[in-house]
Amino acid sequence: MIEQIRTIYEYFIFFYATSLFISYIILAILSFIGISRYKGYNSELDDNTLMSSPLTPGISVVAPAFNEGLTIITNVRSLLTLNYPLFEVIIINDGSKDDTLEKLIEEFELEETPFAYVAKIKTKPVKRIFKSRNPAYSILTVVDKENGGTKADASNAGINASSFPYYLCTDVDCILDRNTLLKMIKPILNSKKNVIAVGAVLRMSNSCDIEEGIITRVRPPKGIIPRFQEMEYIRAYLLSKMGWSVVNCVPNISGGLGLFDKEVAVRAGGYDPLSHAEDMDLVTRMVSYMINNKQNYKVDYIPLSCCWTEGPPNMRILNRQRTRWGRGLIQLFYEHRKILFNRKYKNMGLIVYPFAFLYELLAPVIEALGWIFFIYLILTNQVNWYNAFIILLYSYTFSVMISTMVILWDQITFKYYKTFREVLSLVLMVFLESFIYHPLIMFFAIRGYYDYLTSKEFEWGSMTRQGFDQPKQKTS
Amino acid sequence: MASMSYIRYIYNRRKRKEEELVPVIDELLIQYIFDDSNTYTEQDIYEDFTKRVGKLSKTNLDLITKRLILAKINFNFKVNEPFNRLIRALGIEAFIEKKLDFSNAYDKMKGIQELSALSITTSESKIFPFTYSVNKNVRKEARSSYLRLSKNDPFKFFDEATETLNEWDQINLLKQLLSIENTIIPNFSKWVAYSKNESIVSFSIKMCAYFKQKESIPTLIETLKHDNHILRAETIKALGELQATDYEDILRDMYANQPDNCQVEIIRAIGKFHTGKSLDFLKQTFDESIQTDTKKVIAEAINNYGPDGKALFEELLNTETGFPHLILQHIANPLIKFK
Repeated sequence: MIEQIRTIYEYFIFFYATSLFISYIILAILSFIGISRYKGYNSELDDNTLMSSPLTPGISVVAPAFNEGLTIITNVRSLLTLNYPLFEVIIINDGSKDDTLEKLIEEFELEETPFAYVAKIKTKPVKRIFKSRNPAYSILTVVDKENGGTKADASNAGINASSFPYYLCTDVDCILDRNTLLKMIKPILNSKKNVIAVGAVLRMSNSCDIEEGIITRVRPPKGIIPRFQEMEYIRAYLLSKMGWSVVNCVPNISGGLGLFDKEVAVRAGGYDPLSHAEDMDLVTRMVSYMINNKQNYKVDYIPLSCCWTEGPPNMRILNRQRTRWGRGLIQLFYEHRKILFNRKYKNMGLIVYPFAFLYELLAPVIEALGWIFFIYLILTNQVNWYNAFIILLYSYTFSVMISTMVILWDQITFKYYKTFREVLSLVLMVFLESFIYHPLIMFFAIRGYYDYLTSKEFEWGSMTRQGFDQPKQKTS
Repeated sequence: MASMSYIRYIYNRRKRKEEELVPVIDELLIQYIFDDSNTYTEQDIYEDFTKRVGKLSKTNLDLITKRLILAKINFNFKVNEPFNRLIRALGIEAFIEKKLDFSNAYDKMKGIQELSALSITTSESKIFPFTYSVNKNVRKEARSSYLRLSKNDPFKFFDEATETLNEWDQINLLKQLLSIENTIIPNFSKWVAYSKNESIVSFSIKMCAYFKQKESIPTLIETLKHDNHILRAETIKALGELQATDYEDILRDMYANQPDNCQVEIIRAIGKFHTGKSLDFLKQTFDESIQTDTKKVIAEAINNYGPDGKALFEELLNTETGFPHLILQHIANPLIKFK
């Protein structure tokens, strides 16, 4: 009996790993096509065309804030200086317990304003809406609401208060490239299909030079944990999401930066305040809405780094973030289980969800079982060490090859780092990832699944910010 | 690793060279384009550039072209003789045209864009083959440029286009239309009336409004019967822009049977007419409308509807209660920029 289980498991792992390797190779090819097309058919002249055209649509920038007193002023200033002909900035103070709101009121000369706020998407009550007396900040709106427990609730309030047909959802602690709106609106405008959402590459801001909310020098993070994440983000965005965008199978648009069609988002019900993976949940519901209404759609990605976010600086905060992601992922599959392998949902049901189910949701579990099985084989002296070494080396070199290749593409196409030494510091992470970072991520994901299945409580916004232009403080 | 270090080496070398050359190129461009006492010959320009920038290689010409485009965008100057002389002296037109002949689709498209950005009136025959390119992006860019370049039939593709013009195409076409100097903008109502392509009709309606083509009003009125509500809404918007006050009654009469987007545009158009004939209608729609967004638009139309509208707005502000009162306060508040 045990022998049979063992044989079945070994065959399963063989096919699982082989299919995973093949899918990475396919994604790499697709991603190369996507990046080449983007680089080929877009130029700096497009920005100028958009800036000067009366036909350029307006965009609302929606940024929720929860206890962001340390960095709020710099970050809002950064959002206000975006380069775009028609936009507004909506900051949602989600019941902060610190001085976030007071700082905003004082710095931007805000006053409470009668505002016809319509809750098209249901949220926790909005207490007040502020506008600035200073005409220089006339595009700024601050919504003060009761804490909703998740970022989703705050984002929904921002969407309700927005005026334009598209909204860019970001985190208030993110630093955006000044041309973000110009770059991200173009795939929406230049498509035959209805592009309902667009994402872009995110990177870590941890060691970048930032002045007045603008990135003046990009560097890979000095800390080992955020540097691992930088490498992970570049791979996830440039390889995975860019690859999927070529075949219209983008699974999600990051919560840190995404441009959305407001009408479709509202009709799809907005962000789910109970979800811990609100970004993937929203894309799923928007796509479902389009499919249910028999409309063509596309979810797109651009390979440009438009957003820099402060990554978890230490293990404790990384644990908190990834456990939340793990909870979110399992919750998402439970909530949308009818989509999985459902032909009615086209790409979403037959490619996006099955892929995420097999290689994201199940991966940590399969891997953990693999380790347990491996230990069992060692203890019962059944390991063919020569073969085991070859297989491990093969897997390791494959993962190193894929990650190195993505860093190489990043170097060929965009070159955000100034020196080769900085590139090498990132390449080093590729070699160490399998031994340090990957096991941690696997462990945190399983912990997230466990927390969800045992219904442990969780709140958003618990990431402790260090701030950009203030002296770094110790993370509590 | 070897590839990465090689790429970095090439990149750094090129960047260093660029950093050295950019100030020199900018200085030369300013000297040869903006100097009023400009009496330089093409030979002078060529010699000066080769002396200070170096051989006019592909890399150097690419950089000069980029800086020239940037200067044209930033200073927004009109094409004049010194500018044309500079283009001729450095062989920039031939350099860009070479891209059209011997390169991949990306470079062809960028070449066409550069010709447009520099307002180089290359020969029509040079661009024409690309207007039927199998590559969609090259084809669209070429057709857009053809609008500016063709002396005989610049709007040829409006007549025969079967492809949908997306929003980016429309933005590009408008840019080309605005860059045409000394050319009469055609009456777009021709395509509103006869084009079978709804995206061409939509763009033409927008252009009728943008170029204030009042003669297109009768054609636009016919478009109000179109089945596509998006086109109807676009038409109503255009009628508002064109101050088609003679047709205010028609808009009022059709209001009740229209979807939300058309109703909103009718209110906006009537608000722009300012004739004073529709104040009762606006008040009635404000009272009856249950859509908050429409109510906001109506309140704004009343507030901007001349002295009578202002008076009615004040009266409503004093009499309405609850959410309608909040809507009126919202509209009256000067701090709210985007109502």
